[in-house]
Amino acid sequence: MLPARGTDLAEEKTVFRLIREDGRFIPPGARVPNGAAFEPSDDDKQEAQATNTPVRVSCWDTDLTTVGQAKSLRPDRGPTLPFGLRVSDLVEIRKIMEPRLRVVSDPLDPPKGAGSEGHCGIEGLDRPTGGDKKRHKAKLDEVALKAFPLPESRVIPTTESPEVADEAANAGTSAQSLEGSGPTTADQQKQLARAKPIALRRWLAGAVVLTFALTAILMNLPGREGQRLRAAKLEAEKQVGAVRAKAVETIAQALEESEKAENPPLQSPSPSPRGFVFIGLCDRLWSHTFFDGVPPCDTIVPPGGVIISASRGIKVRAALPSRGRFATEVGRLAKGQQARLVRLHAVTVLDAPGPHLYWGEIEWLPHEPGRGP
Amino acid sequence: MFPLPITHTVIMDPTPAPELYRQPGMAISQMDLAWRRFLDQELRMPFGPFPETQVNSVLTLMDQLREHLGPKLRVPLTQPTVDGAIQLAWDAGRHYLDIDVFSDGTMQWFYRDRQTKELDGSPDDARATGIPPELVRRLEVVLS
Repeated sequence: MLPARGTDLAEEKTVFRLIREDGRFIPPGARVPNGAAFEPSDDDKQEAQATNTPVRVSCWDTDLTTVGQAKSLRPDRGPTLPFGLRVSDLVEIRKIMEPRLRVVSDPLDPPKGAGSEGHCGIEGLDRPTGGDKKRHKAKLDEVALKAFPLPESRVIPTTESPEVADEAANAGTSAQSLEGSGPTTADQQKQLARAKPIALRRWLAGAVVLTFALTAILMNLPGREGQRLRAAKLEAEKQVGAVRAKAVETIAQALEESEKAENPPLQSPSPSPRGFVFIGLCDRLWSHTFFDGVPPCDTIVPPGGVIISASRGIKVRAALPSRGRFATEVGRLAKGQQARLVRLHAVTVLDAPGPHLYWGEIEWLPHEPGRGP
Repeated sequence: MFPLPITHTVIMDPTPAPELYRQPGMAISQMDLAWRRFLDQELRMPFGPFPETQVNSVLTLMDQLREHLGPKLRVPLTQPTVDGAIQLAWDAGRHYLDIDVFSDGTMQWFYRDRQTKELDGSPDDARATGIPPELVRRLEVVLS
């Protein structure tokens, strides 16, 4: 039986809201969601007008709908993140900030699939006509502060329904066991697809926890054995540093060597007073550079440029590289030859974190005949 | 051979670094570059839903704030709002500030001190074109 539409949810309940994951830049340490995630949309307002009900912001009762079900019921939302809210927290906000604030049942009617009955709405999140905007935003901020991330497989079985139990069981089942269960229906295949990332995430989380635990144990071991293990750990860390340094070096070498590869030119050769050279790798500090006298990569090149000196022979290109291809070679700097660096350009390798590749725009110096174009 | 050949190299931001950071000593961080790439690839038309002028307004605003606040200006949480704005938000626990940048280049801002419950920001539904000194002062508090 569907819950009665418009009835208040009990204070001990928890609801969750799906918040779009894409189209959002979240720097490290940023708090998500903020109040904007609880601002009623135009659709919410139009639906309220059409149904002659208060404006409601969509959410789901964790007792009746799993995150997976809610996502499949709203496939048009794209990738989403689930955030939980305790009804009791919203009741507290109602007492001090917004008497209209309440969470009510609003089951999807007709049902669109398993979990439809758990759809709810948060009322009182819209700005009253003529209401103060700053107070309105403060209210949304307060609601956002109460939101907490909800694991994908989270189910709170206080009033367990068969669907909830099934979903919980599936979420806890490994991808392997699902794969080994013989012929699957379309639903089972969907569950399998969901279970794989869940299993992988759990495995990764387990690995991280284990690493931390081992580190903690090593750091707290008493006596000589502890010292020996700590020394071994430090040695291992040194080796990791060496491997990283080697990787950086190898990237630079790969860049150089790949210049010999068959990359068709981007532009036809044309004499130019300027050119572009690969300067080096930098992550705030230079970790590798082919030039002496290069200014720190976290500062601008001063007006008029700076004189740099090649520490090895290096090709000068007509333009920056693009999509893995070098531009036409327009000359070559010999070892020890000087040039004027006028600009630095940041380039990267895929989306990998780590040092950026920097290219420099240089001017040939007039006292180097035969070296330039 | 380490498997990262030049074929995997792309120009992340071909804008000359000096134009990104106009003052000496400002860090070119991965985060700043990633943020600019997000604006270009996920918000700016044709890849995203926002017109070029609106995204440029965001960049201009950040440049202006950087002039006022220097390197302490952190990359903000950046996201669309339901009323078609691009929101920049800084949350420092006690202090919170957001700026909504609209398609006509105007903006609204909001500040909240969660401890004292003090509120500040644009007057109701009024949109500004420049950066009010009060906004800079409040943001300085958030970033301190």
